Amino acid sequence: MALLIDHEAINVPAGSRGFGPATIPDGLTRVTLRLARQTAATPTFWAAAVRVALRSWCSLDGGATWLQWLGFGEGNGGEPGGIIAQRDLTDLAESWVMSDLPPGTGRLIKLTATVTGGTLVSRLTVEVV
Amino acid sequence: MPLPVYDNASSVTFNGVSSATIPAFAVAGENRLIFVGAGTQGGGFTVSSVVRNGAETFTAVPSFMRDSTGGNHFRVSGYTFVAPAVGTYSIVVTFSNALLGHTGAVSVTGAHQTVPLGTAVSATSSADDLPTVTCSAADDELLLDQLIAWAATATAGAGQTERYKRNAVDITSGGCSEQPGTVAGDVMSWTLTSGGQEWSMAAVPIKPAPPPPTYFPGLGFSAQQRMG
Repeated sequence: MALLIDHEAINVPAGSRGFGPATIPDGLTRVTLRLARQTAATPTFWAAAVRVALRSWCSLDGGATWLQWLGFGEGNGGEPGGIIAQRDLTDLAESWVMSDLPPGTGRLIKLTATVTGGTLVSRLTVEVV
Repeated sequence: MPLPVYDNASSVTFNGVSSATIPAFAVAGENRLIFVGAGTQGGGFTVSSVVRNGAETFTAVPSFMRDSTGGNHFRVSGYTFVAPAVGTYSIVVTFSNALLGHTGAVSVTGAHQTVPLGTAVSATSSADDLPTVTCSAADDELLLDQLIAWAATATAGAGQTERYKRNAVDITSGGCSEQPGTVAGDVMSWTLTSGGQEWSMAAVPIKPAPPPPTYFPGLGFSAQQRMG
């Protein structure tokens, strides 16, 4: 397991910001993108009016070409923030997506966060296992 | 006619998102079709749209969507896109609210391009039994299913081949498998472990493309015309 981005505090004004590229350790097969949500304990995180589209890209040729990989918020005009109550009535701490990685060696991953409706304050994690 | 053939698959698992992007996958071959299945948890919330490359909208498979009734609000949904161009694509699946679940795409070749689907069948249960659907398919049709269940793991039944699967996502497991229509009984099933085993499941037959006409040079008609 490796944390390519480890709960990195981010502050992204409306617009787009890139993260990476980062090298994916060989032999790992799965990636998870996590973005911390607003909760009662983190009231300044990802406000309800802020919408985010998080897109990742993988490269198998050292960055010459990129495949669009997993993401969220690319429909519905961006993923809205605010508090999400779970079944047990606790607040969901992170929105996340997980998928398999493309097989290969020397792989790279990069992300783009596109923000509308205000400034995104959150913590970003990219985990590969 | 030859059975439609699996080509490629890709999937994504999610929580707390109202749209998820399925990673890019290649589509190639003749008589192409893409099936997108989704297993979600969240009462009353639907798949709003399935869009390829930001432009092309998938069509919902009739009679495929099914909600569970045991309180966990599991839903399976299915969508298809016929005759996608050859290339590499990603697919954005959008929901009516932020949900927990998984969604995936399976591309097949050799699918009928004008009447691609048979009749879908769906089922649900909260009786602690195993997910099972009986979906009538001819020998030359390919069955695809989609499951979401309250379970630690889900494993497709004998005669089925898993095409994407996610186990132990919060309380849910599920995925998509295929089965050739030659399997007797047209029954698709999954085994589950460690759960209350509430589930929703559906399956649909993919019909085969007709064989290309065989022309007899100089005679001006095809084999089908001659025989028909």
